[in-house]
Amino acid sequence: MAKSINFVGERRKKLTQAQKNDLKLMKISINVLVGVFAIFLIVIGSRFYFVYQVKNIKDTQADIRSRILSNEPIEKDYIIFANKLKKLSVFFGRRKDKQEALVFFSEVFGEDVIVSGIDFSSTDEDVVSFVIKAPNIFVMERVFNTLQEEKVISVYPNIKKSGMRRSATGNYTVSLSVVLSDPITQTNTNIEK
Amino acid sequence: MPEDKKKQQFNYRTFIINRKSMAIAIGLFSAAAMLVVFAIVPQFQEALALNSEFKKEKPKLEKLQKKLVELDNIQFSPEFLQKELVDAALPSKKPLLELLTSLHTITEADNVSIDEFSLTPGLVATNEAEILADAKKRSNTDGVDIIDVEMTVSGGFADVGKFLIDLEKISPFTTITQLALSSSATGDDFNNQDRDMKAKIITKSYFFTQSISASVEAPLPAINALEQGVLNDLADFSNIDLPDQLEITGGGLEDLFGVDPLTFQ
Repeated sequence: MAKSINFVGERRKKLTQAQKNDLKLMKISINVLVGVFAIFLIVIGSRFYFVYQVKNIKDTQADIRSRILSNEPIEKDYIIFANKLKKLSVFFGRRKDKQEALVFFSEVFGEDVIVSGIDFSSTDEDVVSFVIKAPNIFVMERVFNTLQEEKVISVYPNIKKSGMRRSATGNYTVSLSVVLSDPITQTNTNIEK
Repeated sequence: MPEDKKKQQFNYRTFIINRKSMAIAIGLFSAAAMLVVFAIVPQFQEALALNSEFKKEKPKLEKLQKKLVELDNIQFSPEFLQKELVDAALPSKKPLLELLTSLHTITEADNVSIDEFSLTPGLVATNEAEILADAKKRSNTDGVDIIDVEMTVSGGFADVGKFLIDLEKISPFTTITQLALSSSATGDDFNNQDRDMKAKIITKSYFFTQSISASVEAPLPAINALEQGVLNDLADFSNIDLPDQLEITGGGLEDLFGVDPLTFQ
């Protein structure tokens, strides 16, 4: 019996196998598309979430801004108040240093020596000048000795003496220019003689 | 030859009929790819941009919320309640009347007399004065302006001493820049100086001229311990409560100086 060759059947077999593979591929593609669509939904959902959040935060900001603006007079008053206070604290600080120096030099030389003049108007804000008045040369000598003592040098290391004068009645005056810098930061003690 | 070419050409129709699933799979993959390229990637980038914007806006919101709370609380803060003291010590206008009144008050209280007095109140309101004031304001970086006063005060040693102390406790904030003491009547006799002390004084009185600007987001300035100490010091100041003049009183052509007209009989 002669063997029959069915060319069409062979081709049909191959085609059926290919169609089975195609069906698998189609299922995979459906799954991929569903997965991609799910990702798309997540991404678009997160985008809407952030749109909502940003809108929400901006709306809240606008609301708070309008409430802050409604308090503008209070804010203005407070800022002026705070700036004035800052200026005053600077003035008080400068004046305190000078007042401390005045009290110090009023007391350090004894009762018979008076501070007869003060000049705070130096362009250098850390310098103050005093005019010290002594009733006679002996008291003035004591003033000079006191200026070289440790109790003065430790507080005011930079003192410049100038313009010593004698009046007709025998009183002596001398000008002292005092640098009000922080004594701790001073490295050299310098009293000019 | 043309028949061979025809054989080699891809037959879409046969492919779609025989490989329908494959065609659908190719279509679905293409759709998935397009979805990724044209939808997911742009949306994802958009979402990232929104997220970064959200992160940027959140601290701003927190600042604004903090500022709002501060503004609500500040009205009742013990420091801000002393605003009038600070305004009196450093007024926002030239405090000429306040200064003169304060000086008069401490002079009376300390039993001293002012023999000589001079000050420069400033320029009258002319166009030139306005230009000069503007130029001065521009050059003034301190945010304050000064009234210089020069005076000679006489009285007992203790009274003059007390006057000098009180002088630095008046509103507007006044500080002595130069002082020269002398005994006027008894010369340099130290035993009698209590009776006839003279003090030549130059003072500076300050007033606030700084321009202030602030944005809505800017935080409110904080008050530190040093400034709280200043508030305590200001409590000891003697304040003059002069009513603000908001309108011109008197004047007019009929009664220019408020003096009763002279009558002749």
